[in-house]
Amino acid sequence: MAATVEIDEANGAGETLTHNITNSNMGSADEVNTDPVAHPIAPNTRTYIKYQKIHVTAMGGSSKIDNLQIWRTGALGTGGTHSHLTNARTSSYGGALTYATPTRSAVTGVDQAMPTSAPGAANLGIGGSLSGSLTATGSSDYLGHQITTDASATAGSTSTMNYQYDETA
Amino acid sequence: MAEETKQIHRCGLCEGEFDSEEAYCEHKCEATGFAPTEPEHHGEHFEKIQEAALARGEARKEETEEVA
Repeated sequence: MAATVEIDEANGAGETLTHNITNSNMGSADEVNTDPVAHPIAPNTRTYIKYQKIHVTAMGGSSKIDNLQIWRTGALGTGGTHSHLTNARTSSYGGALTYATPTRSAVTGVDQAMPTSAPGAANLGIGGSLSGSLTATGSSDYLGHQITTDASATAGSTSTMNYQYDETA
Repeated sequence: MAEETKQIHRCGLCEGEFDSEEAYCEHKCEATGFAPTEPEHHGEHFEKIQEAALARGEARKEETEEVA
């Protein structure tokens, strides 16, 4: 049996951590499983930042989880310049991102371009370090990510977030 | 002294709310009938998905060893 892993997302001023989210829709509301039709991103604005983490709820007989790699596949959209920013990075990692009430403003440390293919090395830490690991149930550092659009952006794009980890038997 | 903000843990499937991660992990989800620590909680095919992921990992490991 393998480890049991889910993706969690934190929202709100008091930090409600929703476990086992079903999508990572980005939009103009701070809510889990955002409804993009009700809360679209207007041109020349930012989405609310997402704070998400990888949560191992059971080791399933494995001894270690590490080498967390996060990336997006699929284009962000058309009609303008879009940026998908994150704190995930393979070098000069800034340590564990501290949760703060999600905002549509820029967030310190969330300034790297989201990779569009597997980065080839850990880009999200555990315990504040890219070389960190989980040997029992627990969670990664927060992944922060946010999309910015310019004035020419047009509606409608779908892409996929990828969350990868190594599991040692 | 400022009041400490307490984190709420919410199950994304049954929407139950818990005071701690431990309580969340131990709850029997009303939506699935299983605890989040059980593979079945994540869908009826999750165990197969786990097995496939392990197989992919083993294949990748063998490829890496061959290259080395």
